[in-house]
Amino acid sequence: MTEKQLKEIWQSANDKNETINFHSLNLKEMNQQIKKFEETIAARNNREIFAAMFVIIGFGYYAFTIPTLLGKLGSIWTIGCGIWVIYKLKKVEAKQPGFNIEHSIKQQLVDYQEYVKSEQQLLNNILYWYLLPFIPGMVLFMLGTGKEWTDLLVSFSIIFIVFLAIYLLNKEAAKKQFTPLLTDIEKTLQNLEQVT
Amino acid sequence: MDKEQAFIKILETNQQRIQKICGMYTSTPEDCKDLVQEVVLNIWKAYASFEGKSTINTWIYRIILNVCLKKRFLQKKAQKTVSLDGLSFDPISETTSQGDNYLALKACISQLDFSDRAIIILFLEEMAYKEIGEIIGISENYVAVKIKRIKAKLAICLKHKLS
Repeated sequence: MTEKQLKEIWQSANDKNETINFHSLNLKEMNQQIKKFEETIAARNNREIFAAMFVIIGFGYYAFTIPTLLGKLGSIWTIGCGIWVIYKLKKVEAKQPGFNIEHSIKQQLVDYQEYVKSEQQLLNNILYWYLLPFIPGMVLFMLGTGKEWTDLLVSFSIIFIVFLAIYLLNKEAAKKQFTPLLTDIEKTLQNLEQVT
Repeated sequence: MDKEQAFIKILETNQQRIQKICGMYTSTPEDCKDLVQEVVLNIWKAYASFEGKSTINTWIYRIILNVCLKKRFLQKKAQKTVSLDGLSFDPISETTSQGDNYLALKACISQLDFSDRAIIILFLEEMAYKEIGEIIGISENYVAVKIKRIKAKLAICLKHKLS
């Protein structure tokens, strides 16, 4: 098939007359929809932040009301962890590539690759930046509550199970969600690499 | 002509182009409709910052391909996008006199990888190699090499589809 024939086939889909009625677009309404949509995205992105804020407020309350020193130390430690989590999440979120039409497709792919890698790393390393830092605070706080050893054992077991579930779910998500996506991006990028 | 009228004019002039390219990156009319809506929205968002450094066509291609790229690699499948209720839409006609050939070409292009698809679409849209290179991020010479390879792939695929 010749180049001319290919282009003729391509152009043949233009034969039909007007297919979209753009005059029915209400641009004011469109601006409102854009705003609403961006607010929804922002709210979704802030879900984890709200959860961390909840922890900060909750343990902030305990830091003042719990009578024991261990309890206060545990609360303050946990608040610190909450702030740390917000910082980590915001840091990765900031890497999300924007809509930059000045960038070439290849550059955009490189940006996506970097962002997806950061997201994957975040989930893969959740034990170190999310779960482990909370443990000293939790232990101090629980000891500070003055509960019986049997009650403490039950509480620690529950925390352990919850943390284990968070760890496993995130590891699975990193593997299932991001590994195929990264492979896909790498493959597309490789296809654009000039072999000399 | 005010800003809004100029925007509508751009959409009208480029509607076939937008629909056709979106069709190459989607498999169902419904997905195509979503993608067209997203492209229209992004053209509107970017319109205020259009400085005329490139031609309007190049600018439109960049937006379409950027939206397709984002949709392909960054957006989760279930992620809701903006729905433009005012936009009445019919999928592009594929029952033209050359309908079968076009469908076969579409099927063959759909088998290509994202970047090859973009390169051949821009080529079929009569864009110069230099501009294709700038949009894709590769050298002009490499565009020529890629187009030669893609055309060979398409020729085999079309022969198979149309036989």
